[in-house]
Parts: sequence; C-alpha cells; structure tokens
Amino acid sequence: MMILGTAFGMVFYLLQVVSGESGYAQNGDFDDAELDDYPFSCYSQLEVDGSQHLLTCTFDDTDVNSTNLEFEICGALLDVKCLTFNKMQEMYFIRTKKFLLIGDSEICVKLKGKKITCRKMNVVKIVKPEAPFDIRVIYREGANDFLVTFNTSHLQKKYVKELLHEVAYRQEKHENDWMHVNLSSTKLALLQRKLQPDAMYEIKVRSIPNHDYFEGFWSEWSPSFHFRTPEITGRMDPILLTISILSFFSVSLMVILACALWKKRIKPIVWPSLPDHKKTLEQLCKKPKKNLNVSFNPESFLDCQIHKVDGIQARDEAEGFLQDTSLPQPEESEKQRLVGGVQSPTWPSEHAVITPKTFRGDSPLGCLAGNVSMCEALVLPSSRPPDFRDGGKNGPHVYQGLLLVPGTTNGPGPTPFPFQSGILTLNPAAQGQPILTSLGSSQEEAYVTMSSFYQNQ
Amino acid sequence: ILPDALLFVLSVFFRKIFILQLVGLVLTYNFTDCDFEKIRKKYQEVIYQALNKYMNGVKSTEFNNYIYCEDPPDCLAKIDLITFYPTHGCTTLAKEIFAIRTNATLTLQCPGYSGTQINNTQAKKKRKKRQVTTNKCRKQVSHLMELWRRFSRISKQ
Repeated sequence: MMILGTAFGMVFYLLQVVSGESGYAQNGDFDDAELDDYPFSCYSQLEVDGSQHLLTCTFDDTDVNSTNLEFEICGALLDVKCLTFNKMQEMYFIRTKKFLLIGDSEICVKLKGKKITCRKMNVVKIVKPEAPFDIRVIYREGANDFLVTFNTSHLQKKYVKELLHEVAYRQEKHENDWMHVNLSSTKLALLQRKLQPDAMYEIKVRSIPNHDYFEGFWSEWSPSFHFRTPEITGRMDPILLTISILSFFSVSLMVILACALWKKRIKPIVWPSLPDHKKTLEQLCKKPKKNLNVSFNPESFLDCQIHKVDGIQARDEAEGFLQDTSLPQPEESEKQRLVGGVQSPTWPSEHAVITPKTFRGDSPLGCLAGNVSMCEALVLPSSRPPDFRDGGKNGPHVYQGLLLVPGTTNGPGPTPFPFQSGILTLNPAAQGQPILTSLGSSQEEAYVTMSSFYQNQ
Repeated sequence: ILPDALLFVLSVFFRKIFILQLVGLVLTYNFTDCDFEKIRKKYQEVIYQALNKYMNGVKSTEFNNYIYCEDPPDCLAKIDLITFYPTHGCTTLAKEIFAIRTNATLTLQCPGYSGTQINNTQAKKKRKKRQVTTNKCRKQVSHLMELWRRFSRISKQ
C-alpha cells in the first residue's frame, strides 16, 4: 500500500510539475502562447527631475490588454534588488535615483506576479534626451545670414552632457522638403543665399547622446519656429548707387566730348602740326586797319599800281610834272628829257636810292587816288650811304637792306645830292607808267612804302 | 561576566581576522588583466560625479594628498584598498554610491574579481550614519580622487 501510494504521489507530482512548466497556471489561463507576444521597448531619461531619473516602458503592440500586466526592473540598482514600474494609461515608468548606471539590468513583464517576458537592458544605452527648447532665428544683415540658437537642459546636467543636435528646416509651401544640419553646439548660421527670398520657413531641432558611454535615441522635436526671409531688392547702398550712376554719365560725357573735339582742339595739342608762316602772319595781323591790305599775294594789289623807282628829282620839277600830268599825256621824248634832265650830275643817278624809313606821325603807307595811283615812298639820298653795298656791276645794289632797282649798273654809286624835296623818277623802260612824286614833308627825304615796290619780273 | 568579556574579545578578534583575510584576498588579486580603458570611461562618466557629490564642494586639494601609484594595476589595487577597507576613523566608505559603482566597475572589467559583498540591509540601517561625513572620510576620498586622476592619465597611454 505504501509503495502504491508513493507511486501515485510521484505520478501526480510529476503531472503537476509538467503542467506547471507547460504554462498551465493556477487561474486556468493558458499563457504559453503569450510568452513572446508582449514585445516592449524602454527608454531612460537621466536627471530629468533634479537628480531623479526616469525609465519608461511601453508595449510595441498597442492592442495588448495590459490590465493585469506589470513591469519590473532588477539589477544595477543602488540599495535595492528590484523596482516595480508605475502605470499611467498604456505607459509604465519609474522615477528614481537608484540607477547604478553601471552594468545591465533585467526588465520583465509580469502577469500577476509571474514573469512573462524579460529583456536585458543597460540604462545608459537607452538614453533619450529631453527635447531642446527656446529655438530662435535672428537675421544678421551685415553677415547676410540667419543665426539659429536653441537651448537644452542637458547643459546643466552631470551625466549625458555631450549631445548631437539635428536642425531641420523647410519652406512652408514645400511640405516634405526638409533640410537637415547636424551640429554639436547650440548655435547655427544659415546663409541667406541658400534660402529663398521673401519666403516663410519652419525650423525645429532634436538631440541624441553623442558619447562613447551614453547611447540612446533621438529626443522629441522641439517646438517649431517660423521666420520670413527678406526680399533681395534694395540691397545696394543708395549712396553707392548714386555714385555709380554719376560716374557712368561723366565718363559717357567725356567720351562724347573727346570724339567731338578731337580734330579741332585735342589733336593739335597732342600732335601739333608745323605752322604755316603765311597763315601765322595773317593771324598775327588779325585786325588790319582800314584799307590796309596785308597779303603776300601780288594779285591782292592789282588795284594798287606799283611803280619802279629809278631816281629822285627836285620838288619843283615834281610839281611841274604834276601839272603836266593833269594835261594830256606828254610824249615819250619829253619823258625822256625829263628823265635826262633829272639825270644831271648834280642830280642823283638814275638809280633811286630807296630806303624805308618810319614816318614821324605820317601815315606810313598809302595810295593816292586819281588817274595815277601812287603810293608814298620814302627816299633818303646820301652820297655814300653807309649801308650801301656794292653788289657788283650787274648785280643789284642794296642800300640799307633795300634792293636797288636795276637800271644801268654802270657808273658810280649814288652821289650825295643836296635834296630839298625828293621825288622819284620812273624807269623809262616802263611805259605808260605814271611818275611818282614825293609826299614827304622833308625836302631831304622821300618815303617809299613797301607796297610801292615793284618787283621785276 | 566572564562569558560576556570572552565573547567581546572573541568578536573583536574574529572581526580583525576577517578583515585581514579580506585584505589578503584583495592584495592577492592581480589587476593586470583589467580593461583599463572601459574602467577609465566609467570613472569619467559615473564614478567621478559620485566622488564629487560626496565631497560636496570641498576640494580635494585642501588635504595633503601625497599619494602615488606607479601603473594602472597599482592604482586600482590602492583604490580598491582605500574604498572597501575601512580605516580607523572612517568605516562607511564602502557603502557610498561611488564605492558601489567602483565595485561594479571592477567586477565587470576585471576577470576574476569577486568584489565586495555588501549587505543591503545593513546599508539601509547605516544610511543615517552615512549622512554624517567625517573629515577623516573626506581625506580618504580625496586620496581616492587623486588615485583615480592618476589612473585616468596613465591609462590613456
């Protein structure tokens, strides 16, 4: 009996043990199939409330009936072996200072005190930082950029101080076109040229642990900040614009003036031409006096009869001659007689010594009106003029720089002649030419002007 | 009366024997095979903060910290000794947060290191005593900080 009882006892014991291992619980619920149906994930937040840490776990499947489910963490704790989570709606959390922060912990899902599923986790490897806050964007006109600044509570924490931040911005009308920038500091400069002008932008930031020891997940996004980029127009400084316009017009005006005045004004200065002496002299005598014909062109003096001077006669004879000239034209023989009479030894030779002399108060040059147009001439007789140069028998004689009209070269030079009033005799070869008379007041001098020279052909 | 006196003498005697045995155990452990890099990281991120908090603003330089360790194993050995073995005037260091973290670090990163088995119930009772930090203990902790700093510098090489 004892042996039989023992055998039955052992059988029932074995049955109980086997049924227990197969998941048959006391309450009749069959949990074997549900062991792997409670996947969950957790994250930690260190120093979230002063020195207290926060560990939060949730089921991955939101449809799980978590009415009787609990979470428990064991290991890597200070002063205690295990801690039980608190439940708030579908979320399980622990707020405590007792995390050792070294080594792994075991987090289990318990159903009515019995562990259903467990996962080994290291609290420092599932860190989820707190979301950044106070994000601001300031436009810097001088730098042509936007300075983005934000704040994070981890700057004042003892653990998890080093974070990697991600800034995301987009143009509001482009919904899914986000631009991302990673940085380790809390300041970022966005260049203006990389943004559209006069557009609204949205910007936000999040963080993740950036350290060898602490690892984890991205934080929640910070609250978005909206800003508008300025327009591009009116960038140029107004003063600079005004100066540019004035400079352009000044240069254009200078170019036009240079083209217009090149030939007349600029080229003669830059590349002066050799002066024409005739024109230069004409320019110098810009204001000729009345009836003063300044020209080197003989045709200009066609109306001014130029007579060759051969000798000087006395006034009386000259006066007589003048009277005669009012009469009909004397014959040729009488002319010759006059000329011969004139050619007395006491008279000067047939060569008239003509020298220019400045008049004293008298008009230097003039042509007498009348049948015979005569020009005043100045004659200075002398025996041996000091300036007389004997140019040779055949050559012209020069007196005081004057060219003596060649007539007869034979004979001596002009002899001094006490002259009361000098007159000029004409060249007998020149027929039909009137006789010049002296108009000078001095008896000793006769004046012949430049215009009375007759240039022998 | 005699049995009480005898019991008292024996308890003191056995306590000292126990401590000596522990010291013997520690001194016999060779920290050469430890992962110094991981130990250094844990010191920089976790243990240093606890040491600093224990000092509560008192700078370790205020004490005469003439203490030296030659190499990383020597530094760890001395850290272990000062942290876990009470001295006259300071017997509660082993129950501090920094000590627990040091124990956990050495247990994880030094193969064969058994560590110090701290009775959690006793830790609860003595928590109030822990709050009263003596100057002697601060001096010891300043030594610890100096050893850890030395270890952190030479273990980077």
